Amino acid sequence: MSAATAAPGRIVVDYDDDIVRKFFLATVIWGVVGMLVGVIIALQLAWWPANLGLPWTTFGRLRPLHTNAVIFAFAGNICFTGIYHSMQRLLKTRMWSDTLSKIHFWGWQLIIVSAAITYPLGITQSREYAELIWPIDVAVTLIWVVFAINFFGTLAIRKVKHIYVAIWFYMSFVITIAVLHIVNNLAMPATFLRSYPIYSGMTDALVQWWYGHNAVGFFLTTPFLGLMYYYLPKAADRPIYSYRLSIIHFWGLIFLYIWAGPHHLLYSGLPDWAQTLGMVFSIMLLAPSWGGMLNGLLTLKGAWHKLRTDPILKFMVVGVTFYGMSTFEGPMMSIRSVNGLAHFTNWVVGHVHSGALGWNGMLTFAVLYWLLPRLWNREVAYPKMVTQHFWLATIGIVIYTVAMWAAGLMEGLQWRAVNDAGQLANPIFIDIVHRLEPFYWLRLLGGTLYFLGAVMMLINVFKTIRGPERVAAAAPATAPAS
Amino acid sequence: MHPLIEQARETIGLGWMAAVMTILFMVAYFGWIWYAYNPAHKQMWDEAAMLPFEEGIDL
Repeated sequence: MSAATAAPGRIVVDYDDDIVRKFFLATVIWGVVGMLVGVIIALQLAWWPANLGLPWTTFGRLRPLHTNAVIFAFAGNICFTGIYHSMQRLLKTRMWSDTLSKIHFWGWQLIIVSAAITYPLGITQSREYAELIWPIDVAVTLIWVVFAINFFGTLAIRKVKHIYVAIWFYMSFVITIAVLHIVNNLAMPATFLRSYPIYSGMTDALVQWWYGHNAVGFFLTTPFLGLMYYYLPKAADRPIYSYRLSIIHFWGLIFLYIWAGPHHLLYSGLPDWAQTLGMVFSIMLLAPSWGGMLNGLLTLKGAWHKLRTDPILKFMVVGVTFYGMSTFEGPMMSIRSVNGLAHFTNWVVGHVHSGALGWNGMLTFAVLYWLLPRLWNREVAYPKMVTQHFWLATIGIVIYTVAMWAAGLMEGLQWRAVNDAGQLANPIFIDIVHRLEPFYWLRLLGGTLYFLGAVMMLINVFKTIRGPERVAAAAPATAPAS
Repeated sequence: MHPLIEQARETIGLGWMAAVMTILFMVAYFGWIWYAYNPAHKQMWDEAAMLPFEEGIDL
């Protein structure tokens, strides 16, 4: 809203957009870095000499670097970007403390840098998606507490009575990630670089996958739904299709997600009833997941024509559609018999990337492109490049996931195939690995296209920031999406 | 008695807790749906849905 159209009684707030710009740039830069590492390790799987024969650049060390960079650096920073931008506006107040915002930003980036140093050196506690060693885990806890104090402090000083649904989704992110991180990383330090978890055996595995799956639920799902509930209405210029559905599927997600972890441990030593419990809750998750997906898509009812010209809405619609597809695929894969075929195959990798590239990545790009002209009060330097990025990314994801589905099904079927005598039809494991090679090359192609799209965005962002400022008449909030 | 059987007996004995929890959570959830879809609250939700469009002014 420009000052000229301000109605009397409208609250005037001096928002802190400096912190939003910081997190924005961190998202773009770490996104490109994390995806580049992904492309490198995809190349290594297709062509092993790409590991350079050095311990620091082998797959085992670079893979956690890739997963941590895209989850905690790329996805994490966009969540913080969106939260700091939208919560101030939804609550009509500046953040409670600018100092805490800054500590949060620099602390989080420092943690990412420390991860990027320790992983290639092989310094890890070997817990998937929680490889950081204990001193860095302590730092994560402290920084998260700083963020939480600022978050709830801002809620406490809000000028609006009702807490909009997006903020509830953010809240679940702040609270649950704190609980997950602390419980999963409880350990007894032995030296500065090494520690021993307080859990052992099956309990350890169960805690790990309770954490692992809820990282998907509360780091890659609920905050992103919060972003969807704020930025999709803004980009489509219409309120969310059903507010009631949003608050109902919110509590459904919260209650069901937390129990779904055991589906990672089917056919393991975990008691059968616990495996079944995890499977049943995973299948039930379909309902609240699709509640969010349908709510997003139906918001565009009567506005589908906007998709033809608006690349931001294109990103959002494909993102939400991939959310729907991967939250259908997930429950299916958690069924025991399906899991028996899919587990340990590349199908899982395909599933994860349809969620990560399709849902998290596409929604992130949409939010970034929507914010870019508004945060810097500049026209996007290369508007056509946004659409080109969209098509590169979409084609890339399709090639990636289809290649991995085919590879996974082939692997799963060949592993279990038996001949007439009841012996394994493919007794030599490495034979099947060799047959995966063409699919690995295809995956590299898909991943590279997706990565190139992100590079185009990086170029576009920096060119835009250096461009001339918009004339005062077009104030940020009412400016059309470019 | 074998310790494993003893353990299983105790676990089954705690089954009533799982039953009570299930009922409590179901009642809470259906109550929440009833509250959300109560026609008396429709206007409140309609207003809430407009919150993203009623931001303060950037200085």
